[in-house]
Amino acid sequence: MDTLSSVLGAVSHPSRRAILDRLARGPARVTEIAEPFDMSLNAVSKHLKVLEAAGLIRREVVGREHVIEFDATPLREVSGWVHEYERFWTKHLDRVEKYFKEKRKAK
Amino acid sequence: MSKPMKTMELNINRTIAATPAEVYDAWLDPNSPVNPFNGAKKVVFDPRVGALYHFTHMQGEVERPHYGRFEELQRGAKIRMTWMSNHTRGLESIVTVTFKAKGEDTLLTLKHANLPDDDMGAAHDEGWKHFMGLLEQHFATARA
Repeated sequence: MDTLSSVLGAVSHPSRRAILDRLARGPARVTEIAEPFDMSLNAVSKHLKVLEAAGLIRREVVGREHVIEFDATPLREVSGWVHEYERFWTKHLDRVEKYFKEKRKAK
Repeated sequence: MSKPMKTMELNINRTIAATPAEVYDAWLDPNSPVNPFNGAKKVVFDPRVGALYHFTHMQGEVERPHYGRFEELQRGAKIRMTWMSNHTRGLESIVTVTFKAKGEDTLLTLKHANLPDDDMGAAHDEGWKHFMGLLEQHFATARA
């Protein structure tokens, strides 16, 4: 899978985006990451594996603890790939799509 | 002689809940939010083949003037126009929008070709925040 697909896949889940938001503030242990979520450690581990496969996090083993660190490199690659006009047209076409969808609904 | 500039093209497709003629007409109506220049700071818009347009798009605090010519206008089917701005580095880039009926809807394809393939157009400085914003927007739209 290419970087874009694996990054988009990884961040397509709201829990994984919340985990990244937490890690963007600084490294954390797996138990600390799991704390604010209503999720089992096992479920958190699964999400971390997906993020790890996309290269968005790095894992450091300190004794018996796994410390997880955020790595923004793939995101930079992906956002570098987004052309100025791609943003412009995507935003515009979102607006067009929404406009007609609402118009049809109102009929 | 300098080498010709390396260029790239963007392709975006969308399914729109309207007929091709409705989408086409709204796209060319400067007062419709479907018009890509709607809400721009300054707009000159004369949708006839060979005629010109101008608009200024604000990028943060910076004004970005855009100019171009309408090359092809086929109601309910196709719009082709040239597009110049600081991002095209003196090249006339070409925007082609096609409209095809798909059941009750329209398959809209947008191609923006002959764009210089360099750092100028690529968004390098936005990083994480921009990316998250884009995704949020994407999912909010998908859910709406």
